[in-house]
Amino acid sequence: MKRRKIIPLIMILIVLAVTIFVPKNTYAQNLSWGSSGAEVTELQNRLSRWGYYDGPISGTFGPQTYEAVRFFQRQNGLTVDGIVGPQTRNALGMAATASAPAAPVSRGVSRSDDVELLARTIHAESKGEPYEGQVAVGAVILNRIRSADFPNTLAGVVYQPCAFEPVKRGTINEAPNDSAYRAARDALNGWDPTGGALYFWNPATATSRWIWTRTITLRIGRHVFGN
Amino acid sequence: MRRYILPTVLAVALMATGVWGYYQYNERNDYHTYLDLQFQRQYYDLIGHVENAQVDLAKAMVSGSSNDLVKYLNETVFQAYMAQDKLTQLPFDHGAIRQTERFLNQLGDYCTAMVNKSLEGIVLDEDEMGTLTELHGYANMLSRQLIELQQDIAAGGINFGDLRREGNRDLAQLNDRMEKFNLINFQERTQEYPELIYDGPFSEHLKDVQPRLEGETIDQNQALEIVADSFREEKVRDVEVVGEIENTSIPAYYLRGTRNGNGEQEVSMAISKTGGKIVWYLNPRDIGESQLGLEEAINTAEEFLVEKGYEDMVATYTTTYEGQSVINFAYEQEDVIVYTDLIKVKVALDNGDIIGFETEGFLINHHERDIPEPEISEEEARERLSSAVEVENARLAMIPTPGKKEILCYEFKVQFGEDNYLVYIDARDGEQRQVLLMVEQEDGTLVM
Repeated sequence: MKRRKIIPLIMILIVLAVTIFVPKNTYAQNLSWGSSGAEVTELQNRLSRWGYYDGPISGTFGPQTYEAVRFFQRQNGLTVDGIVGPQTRNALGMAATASAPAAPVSRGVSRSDDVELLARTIHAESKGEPYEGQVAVGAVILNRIRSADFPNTLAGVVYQPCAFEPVKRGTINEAPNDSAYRAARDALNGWDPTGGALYFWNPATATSRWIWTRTITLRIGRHVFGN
Repeated sequence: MRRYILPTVLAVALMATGVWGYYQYNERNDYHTYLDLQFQRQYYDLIGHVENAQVDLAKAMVSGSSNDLVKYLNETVFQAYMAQDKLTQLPFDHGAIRQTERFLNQLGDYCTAMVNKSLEGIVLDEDEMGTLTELHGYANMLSRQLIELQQDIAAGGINFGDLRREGNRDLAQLNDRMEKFNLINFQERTQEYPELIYDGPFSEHLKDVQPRLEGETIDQNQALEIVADSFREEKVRDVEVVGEIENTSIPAYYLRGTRNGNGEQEVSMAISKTGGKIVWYLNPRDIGESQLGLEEAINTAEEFLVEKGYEDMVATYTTTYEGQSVINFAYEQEDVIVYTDLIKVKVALDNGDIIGFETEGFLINHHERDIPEPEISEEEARERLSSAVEVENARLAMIPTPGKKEILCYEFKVQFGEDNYLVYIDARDGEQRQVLLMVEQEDGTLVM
């Protein structure tokens, strides 16, 4: 008696072990005209076993398979579109195993590193400016990322040579204060007092003549903003 | 004996200084060389990427099947962006390289747009192939000019490491020559056919978007009245116009004021010249301990919006940090969420004050739309999802495309593994238009 109980138990354990240790297909992608591969072979096998399909088991989703899928869908009250999506898959018994990927999906990267770098730049560039002036500096940097004339990443924009004086002097490495942090958050959340400006400069100290060829959008504190 | 002491000390000091100086000199040279080599390498990389982009683009143009076209265009995109990345790390003046930068960005963007088109099964038409040919011509020219410049750099002993010397003549010369790169024709073309050349995310013509905002033009006094009226509850006083925001899509008056309580907190805002709407408002006060929950914050924000005359706004997502919640509202028309008509409200969680307000998206985009009937049902759209995901929620939404168009999509909130995603399926043809990964953080929900 005892042994009989043990055998199913062992079998269950083996099955469990297999399910756990053998990497399973996720069966996630939809199959449609033009698809090919082992899953299409499986699909054709099933369809031909049940009499919906009499073409070759070729592993390529062609017109015959398409018709067979539509036939199957019609017969089973599914949306007739010739695409093997989640429901058709279910009806075919090729259900998604819905296994999570072996390595857990990332829990997503936080953007706090962006906040930090932006806050440091704001702090270095606009200490002592009114709060909206600090947000404006942050907004200019973010506008640059979106502009075709500038690098496409935050670090690329901030560390672009000859772009920001404090980067050149190294003051960018100072720890930002609360106000700079708050301004960085507001800028990242979409506040842009400048209306899309790409440049800012201090009229008292700007050395580049070129900068004055820009159209000015507004002045806040000591800075002029423009694009 | 005594009189030798001072000279001896001085001599030793001099020698020490000399040794130290020599050491410093060597060290400086090492850094200098190192920096120069880094820049040289980047310059070589830049040439390599531009050449590759050019070659891949050429291969794309002779590809017979759309699969091959997509393969080579994708490679072109990658090479163009890499070239742009390398270029922007070189110590050139922004004014000198911005044309080249823009060209590389737009090359990448245009190819991306063509890839997406091909993937949807659309065969590129003659105009589009013509644009690709033209872009190829410019890429070719650019790589030749870069090589020429490179040879002169090598021959003339120009050193990229000489950052320090202001007005360094060699670098200034380089800057000049970069600026004169023959891309001017390309610039003109871009202005001529913005839509044709370019339908990508960095599109130039997006800046010149005509705002939908309508209304009478107001003067400064009216702006002051509007502020007094709008912020009565917030008790803002001593408001004055301190500037004007011009040359943007929504020209406005820029005002500052003081808020009673909170230790004379200064606040600032902008009021649009057309229609007298609040464009943005900022109150950067310190925030005490949180008393409100997110639900209450959303309710407060909703009340504020209704009071300001914004009806039919639906909270779409929120971020909470440091005692404040930023709540995004989108306009809802006939049960369809319109994401472009966006308003953000920031609520202080200590006492429920509205401490921030931002309406630019709404003011630029808002209008009553002719929302088309979806051509496929929700069921059909659901069939387009991967079977590995679990659907939690579905609704219709208008989402913006990179070219500033809007498309009607089914928005599915799905779960895969541990993360939540938003998947957008085109309600017209069932194509997947967008996938967003929602990052749940301690401080709230961010949508990427």
